[in-house]
Amino acid sequence: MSDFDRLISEASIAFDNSKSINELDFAKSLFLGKSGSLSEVFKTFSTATPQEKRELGKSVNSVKLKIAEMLASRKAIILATETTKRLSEEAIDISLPGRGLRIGAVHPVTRVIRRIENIFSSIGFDIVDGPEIENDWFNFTALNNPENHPARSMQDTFYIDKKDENKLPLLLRTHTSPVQVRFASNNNPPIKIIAPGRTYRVDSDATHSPMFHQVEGLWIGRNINFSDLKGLYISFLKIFFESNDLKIRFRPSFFPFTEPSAEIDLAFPDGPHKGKWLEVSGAGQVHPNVIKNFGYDPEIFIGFAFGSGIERLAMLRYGVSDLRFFFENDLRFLKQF
Amino acid sequence: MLISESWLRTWLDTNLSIEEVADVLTMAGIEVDSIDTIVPNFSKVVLGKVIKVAKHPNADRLKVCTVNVGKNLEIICGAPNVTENMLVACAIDGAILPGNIKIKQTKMRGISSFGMLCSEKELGISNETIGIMDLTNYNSTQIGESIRELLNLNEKILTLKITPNRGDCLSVRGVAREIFASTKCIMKNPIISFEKKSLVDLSIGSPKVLIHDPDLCGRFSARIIKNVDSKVKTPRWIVDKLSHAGQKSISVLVDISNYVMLELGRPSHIFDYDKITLINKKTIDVRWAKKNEKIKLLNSEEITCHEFFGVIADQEGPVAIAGIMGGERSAVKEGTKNIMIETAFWKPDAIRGRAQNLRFSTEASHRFERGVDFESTVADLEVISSIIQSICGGELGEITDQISDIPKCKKILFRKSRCEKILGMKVSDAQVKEIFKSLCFKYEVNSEETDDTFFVQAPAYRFDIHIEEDLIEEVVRMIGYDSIPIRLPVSDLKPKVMSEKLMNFQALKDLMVSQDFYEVINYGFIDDKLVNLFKSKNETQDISLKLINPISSNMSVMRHTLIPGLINVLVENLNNQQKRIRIFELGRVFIANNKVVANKNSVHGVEQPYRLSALIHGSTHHEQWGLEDKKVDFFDMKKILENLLTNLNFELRVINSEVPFLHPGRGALIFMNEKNLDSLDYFSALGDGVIGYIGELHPHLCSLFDLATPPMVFEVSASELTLKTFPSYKKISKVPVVRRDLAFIVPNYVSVGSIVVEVLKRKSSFKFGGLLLKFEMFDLYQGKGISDAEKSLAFMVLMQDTNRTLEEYMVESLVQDIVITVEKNFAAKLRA
Repeated sequence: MSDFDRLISEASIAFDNSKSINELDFAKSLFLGKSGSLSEVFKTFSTATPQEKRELGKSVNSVKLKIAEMLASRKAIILATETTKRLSEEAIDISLPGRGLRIGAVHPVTRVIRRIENIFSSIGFDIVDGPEIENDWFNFTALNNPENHPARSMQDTFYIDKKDENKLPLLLRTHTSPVQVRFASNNNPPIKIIAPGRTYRVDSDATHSPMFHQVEGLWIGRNINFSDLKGLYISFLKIFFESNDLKIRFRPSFFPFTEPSAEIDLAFPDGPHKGKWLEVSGAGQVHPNVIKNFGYDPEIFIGFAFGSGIERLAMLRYGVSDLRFFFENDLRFLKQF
Repeated sequence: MLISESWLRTWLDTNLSIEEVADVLTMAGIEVDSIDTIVPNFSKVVLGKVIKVAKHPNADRLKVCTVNVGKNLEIICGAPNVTENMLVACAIDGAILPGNIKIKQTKMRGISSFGMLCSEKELGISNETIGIMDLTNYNSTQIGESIRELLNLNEKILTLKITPNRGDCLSVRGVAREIFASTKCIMKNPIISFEKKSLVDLSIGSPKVLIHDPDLCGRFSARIIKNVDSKVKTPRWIVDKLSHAGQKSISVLVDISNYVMLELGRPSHIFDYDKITLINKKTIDVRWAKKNEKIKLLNSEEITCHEFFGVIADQEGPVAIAGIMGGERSAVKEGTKNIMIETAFWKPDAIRGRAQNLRFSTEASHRFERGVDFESTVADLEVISSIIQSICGGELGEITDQISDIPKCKKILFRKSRCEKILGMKVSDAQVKEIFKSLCFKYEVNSEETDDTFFVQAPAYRFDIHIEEDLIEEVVRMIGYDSIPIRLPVSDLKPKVMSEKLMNFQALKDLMVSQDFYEVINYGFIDDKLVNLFKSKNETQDISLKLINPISSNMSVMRHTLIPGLINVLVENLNNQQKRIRIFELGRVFIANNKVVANKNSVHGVEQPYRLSALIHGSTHHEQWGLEDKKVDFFDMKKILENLLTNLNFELRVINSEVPFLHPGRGALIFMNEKNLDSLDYFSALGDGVIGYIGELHPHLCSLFDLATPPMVFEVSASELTLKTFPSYKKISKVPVVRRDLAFIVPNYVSVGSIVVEVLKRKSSFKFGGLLLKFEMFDLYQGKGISDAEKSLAFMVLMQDTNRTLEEYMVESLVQDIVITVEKNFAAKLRA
């Protein structure tokens, strides 16, 4: 074995015995450092002939390359081992829960209103709003519902201890329909609006709340007819409930502000209400007297209106069994949405 | 309204099942709410005859009965009233009684029993538990026959919801007319035998009636019947019909009057004619009441009348409130001999609201305010008379029929083209004619028009047909709503979206949700006791709006702030073991303000602005590892608010004790811009540069609500939060920003905000003030090394010249100016 071969084998052993980068650096200095073994070999250069120098130089260079190569490969191994070790030491329990704030939720009523707004916005309806304390004109008379008419007893009204400019007591709106009159009498046809909001009636039991939400719809134009109402409302319900298997029927009913009037019922193909007709909306062609109160000529402008109970839709959509849950504001309820 | 199947079928000849009939009615607008049997289901209960009753050898209270149900059965019975020869309801082996009770052969105290003798309660007929049913009145030839058949217990009752426009359907005849119109079945007349004109005893004479007020009474028909027997028992067929309609039998004359009302929709009133005082041939007066006239009604209530009510009056005063209820003085009683029957047409407008005013409703007023046929008063009077005569005997007097003013059945124009336009479907001439015929509407073809038009007249019992649209509804009701085509409307589409400079309430809610809040929805009214707790003490005018007719005192005043509602929700949820609560509400509040004038979005005298309010209570974060558990304080809430206001140019300034329900040292008003803070009342100021308030709930309210730790709340005017700053790009400078930190020791009373405001205000007077990018507090230290009366505040000073690198002397100069400003104005010392 030549000196060079011995040198290589010694370096190989020394590198292999190095367990860290520091040890490896030390071993490197033994062979490649200023006072290392190869430097010793170079010292013999001064006494060598040019021919010897050339050959010696060649050998030394190849040894140097060989050692450097061994060094690099050992270094890679040590680095890899050290990285593996560090990574395993740094491992955390990833099953620990995330840290920081959670996210809350909007009320289910809001959720349903948004869904309705999205559906109607997508076909060009405007979303409008009106006051909750109303006067007699907008809530009743303009809607063809004069004082003492039996139809008024359909909606038991909360009155406020304050009178309007006509000396009639202010009241809490019993439906969202006053928004129809307010909007239509300040805008020109075509009118295409929905108006979701709070409404109030003197009624409180398992199926009635003194405050609840409705969404009003109104579409007035030159040729907006009952057939359009059917088409629009049926497709609304199917999209709202994401079901093409809903059964929907329109049947005659009575509201002072529509003629003809309809009650809209739906029946689910399955689930807890399977097959039962459930009222979801009142609707109809707007009464000519109401169109006149909008300030339009009923011979020219016709159209339909509808009003639907939001809580009713929410109960059916999410399987809520009792209306009162919506206003108890129990977080155990609200967190489910 | 309740109608029994068998009663309804007396008017109709139809093959339809009751379910089909119900469906026809519902689809014609007469909603059938339910179909019920009068008793629950049971089976194998038959008529039996008790042949023999013997004592049970092993039990004192039991008897061993031999019962013939076609064959003889031994049945043990404990009822005290069982006797030999009694006809009984006998449940035989295999019977199933209400409540799913199965009857089988069984042994009782050693003796076999092969069935059960039933009480009314066991069959669900009534709550009668004393003894078994005694059916001895029934025919013993029917032994073995089903009790259900025998007692007509399979009778079905329809519950109808009649809309207020259809007063004509408040009778069996009226409902039958609808079925006839819809199905073209054969209509029968079950009362035809009573419709004949009866023989009149001319010696009796007719009552003298004078209608004073035609706006009250359009027609008044009446007759006297003498020598009636008012003690007769009401015949079974009338009692049964009343009972199926949910009415109790009272006395024979009242029962007959009620029966005719249910049958024909004709309310009538029967007076004891001997109790009506008419001296010197005076008349019975039909008129508006005089002020303070008194009448004691049949329900024993004494009413003091006024001009709002109509009355029928004799010499002594009112004997009945028109169309609502008769008086006690002239009421028929046992022993009544001579009677006067009245069938009148009261104007709906003259009856409406009156019963409501008296706080009760009667079957009569319910019908009159909806309208009762004005043409058939005499015909119906004849029917009532005939029935009375056939049951109670008596001699009929002549009918008086006063007509003052009855409505004209006006001819209404019906254009087929208009009908098609409204419905969006074609209808044929023949169809329309057929429909009008089936509804008994008279029509003439209008020959002057080229278009198909008709003049149509509705019958006198239809008070809901006034205009062309009413006729269109009749047409489509008969064609069937199901036949209207389903079509999606066509319209012009205009793209629309909200301005980018605005934020809607949805986005505001989402900003709250993203900060771990749950949205709540509270009633618009709150407890009147709460209102004063949340009002300012120095308020000059009352801002609260009270309800005239609240459901209860805890829902009696409209809310002027959303905070009380949030606190209620907090308390409720704490009671439900919720520990950390973060809630908000976005809704209207209601403030009386006489300056508000009615316009397109408002009503007179009331402000109804939207507010966004939030409440936090408990720990800052839900319980979790790696985070210190800390209770929320003012600054947690302030950050939540700041996040909401990120896009707004706002200023938050602390002001003492102006918000009475907030902690005086931990509450603030929120400003949009610089305001003079003197004399600001937080409610009146809201909307006037002030957009809301924030703070810790006042300790006295915390103890009132039993809260151990105080909640933090804020309330802001929601509409003020919807204006967004529109983004506008500014060049990003490559020149580095220079930062210097300055720490000052200042007395505790000095507020951080005031130092920042002062420095920024004086910026322009500094030589290099233009270079100041940011002056912001970032650390607060109190404790070791600093006296108790002082605190250390650290500020960062960020400086930049966007065009060139700053020279050291500029930085030094600017920092010096700041230090001098702070030291001079705030008794501050720069920390070394």
